[in-house]
Amino acid sequence: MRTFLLTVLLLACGAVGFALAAPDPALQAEIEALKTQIQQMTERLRELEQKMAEQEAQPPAPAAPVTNLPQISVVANGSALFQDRKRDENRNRFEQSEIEIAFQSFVYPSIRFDTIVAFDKEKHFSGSVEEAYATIIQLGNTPLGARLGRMRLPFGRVNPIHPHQLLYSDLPLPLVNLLGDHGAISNGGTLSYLIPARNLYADLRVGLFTLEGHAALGVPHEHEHEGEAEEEHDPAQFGAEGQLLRMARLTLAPVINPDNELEIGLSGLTTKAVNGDNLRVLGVDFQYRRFYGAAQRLLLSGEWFQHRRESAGRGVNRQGYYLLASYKPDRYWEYGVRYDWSQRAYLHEEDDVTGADRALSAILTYRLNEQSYLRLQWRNLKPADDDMRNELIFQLMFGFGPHSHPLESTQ
Amino acid sequence: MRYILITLYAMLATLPAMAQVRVVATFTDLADITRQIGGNRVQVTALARPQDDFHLVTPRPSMALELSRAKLFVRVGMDLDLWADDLLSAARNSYILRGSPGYVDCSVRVKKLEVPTTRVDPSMGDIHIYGNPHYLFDPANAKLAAQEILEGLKRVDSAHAAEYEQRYRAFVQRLDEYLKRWQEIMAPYRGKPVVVYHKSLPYFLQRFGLQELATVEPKPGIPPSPGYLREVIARMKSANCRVILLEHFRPRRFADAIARETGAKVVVLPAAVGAEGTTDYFSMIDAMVRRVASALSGS
Repeated sequence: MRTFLLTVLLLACGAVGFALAAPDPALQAEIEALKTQIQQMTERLRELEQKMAEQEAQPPAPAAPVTNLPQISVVANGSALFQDRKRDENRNRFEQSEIEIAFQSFVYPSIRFDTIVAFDKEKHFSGSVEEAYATIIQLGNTPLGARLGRMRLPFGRVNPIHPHQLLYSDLPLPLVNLLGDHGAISNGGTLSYLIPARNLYADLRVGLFTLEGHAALGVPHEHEHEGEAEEEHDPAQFGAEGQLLRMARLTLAPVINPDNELEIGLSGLTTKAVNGDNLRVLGVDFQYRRFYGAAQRLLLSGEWFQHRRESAGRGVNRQGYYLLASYKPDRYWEYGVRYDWSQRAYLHEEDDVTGADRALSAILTYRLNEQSYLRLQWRNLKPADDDMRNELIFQLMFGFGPHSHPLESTQ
Repeated sequence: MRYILITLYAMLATLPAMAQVRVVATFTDLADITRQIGGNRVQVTALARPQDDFHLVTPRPSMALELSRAKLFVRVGMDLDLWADDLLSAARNSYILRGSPGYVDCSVRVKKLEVPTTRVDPSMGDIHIYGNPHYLFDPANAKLAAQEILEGLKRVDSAHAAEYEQRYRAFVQRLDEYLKRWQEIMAPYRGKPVVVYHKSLPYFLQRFGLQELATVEPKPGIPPSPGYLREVIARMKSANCRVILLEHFRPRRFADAIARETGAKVVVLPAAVGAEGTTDYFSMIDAMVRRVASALSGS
């Protein structure tokens, strides 16, 4: 009996145990799925931790280097001139015209110093300081600023701008004939006043300078004509080299809207020539820019000059103007056309050339970047005292560094 | 008469409280963030237009006029708005020059990407020597920019510092909420490759986990040659990449040419507040996120 009961008990325990041990398939499946998910998440976590460790192991990005150096820029301007008449001895070959090195920096709170050293072909690439001036951004709490030193005369729109910043390869005829074929470099200072006006940028600038260079205020360079004997000129007495010059310029730019900008300038200067003649130059200029998309821009600009020489109670006026239209469809290309008309400055009756020089130019520019470009300019030139000629100028301008003239720029 | 005088005095006494702080920002996204921090205490002007290319903004006299009257100048920095430096000189306003109380550079706290570790020069294209300056495309960096703007406003208008702090916290909170939503939208696309026109989206791509497969420009600012375009097309086909991203002001012709060969979708991104119908920084990033997500979902 006892054996029977033990057997039944054992069998019953076995049955219960078997029933308990038999797994629920659905539960098993769920458990397996969860295990798989946990494994996948563990692997993903491991990957992310490894990635984080790799990132932390990388050296930190270096901070911007701390230096006390000025901004340094280099500009190399070269060109080739092709003519259908033999007028320039440097025609039909590519030449480096000029190399500029600029050093620019703040030297004191609110005082900035700019130095531009130029190596010019016409001076056999011997270096000279083209500009070196200090700009006092604000005098005290006044809306006055000042600039002192050696600088391109701040007269007119184009004269203050370095040639490599222009939208064409040559200087417009009025500047060459009436201001100077390299523009006018001067030593002195200006005081400028930003006139407080609500919707009008109005900057009044007055200055005192002494002019440098014989080619000043319309006095031409010495030149040679092929086939003719070299003529000696002594322009010094008709120029204003070393003479005190007074100038004033008013720049007005009414605020129109973000897509349109108009600037109008009025300039005037007076001085005496070395021979005592009174010299006066007046200028009116304008620039209109219409901005379309990101880089599209239409530009219309022009300048008019009047040069007056008073000698022995007699005054002679000579005038000149140019008009430019330039369109930039994108950040790389620009197309322009310019018309120049200019009489020559009156020096003395014997050598006086009446009539006007005329030129029509078509300009194509391709910008490699903000500092470098290639340019092709065709110019049809009719001097007042010579035959018409066609010229093709190919210009290469390379630069690096931040040297720029933003508000005086024709960009 | 007595009542007139009392009224007049009361009006004059409130004038300083009503005067707004004139702020000038270089770009429209910074201008919008400044408005959100400053509220009606600030009058904000952006120098660049929404349609302008960041790198090619032309300085103008009207910009100098705005800066001459500003009490606070807010810039992206890292040489993206280098064109503003000479405007600051022309503005005759030493209060907003570098180092002065009214000068704000929003990049100072940003963890910068793509900082060059070797010598750089123009052979590498238009390289930014301080790193990639397009950090505002990562919304998290907008918080850092807002912090700098807040500090600037507190310097020039300490009387309302508490108000600016409150608006800053509200801005950050709202940004965190948006950021969470944007990350949810972009989560399914983490790791997906995209082609970008210019190297201006690394912060955006990093934030949302996308991979930059290639750029349409071979080097920054250099237009692609036909041979280079063929390379990009081959890489896209190999990686099954079907999305090209470009900012609204970029020319489309190169991206369209690639898209024709690869079947990819060209996605125009509003890269400035005011572009493509965007009205503020949130709608700008929102539009970017949604357009990218939509393109990736179809690829």
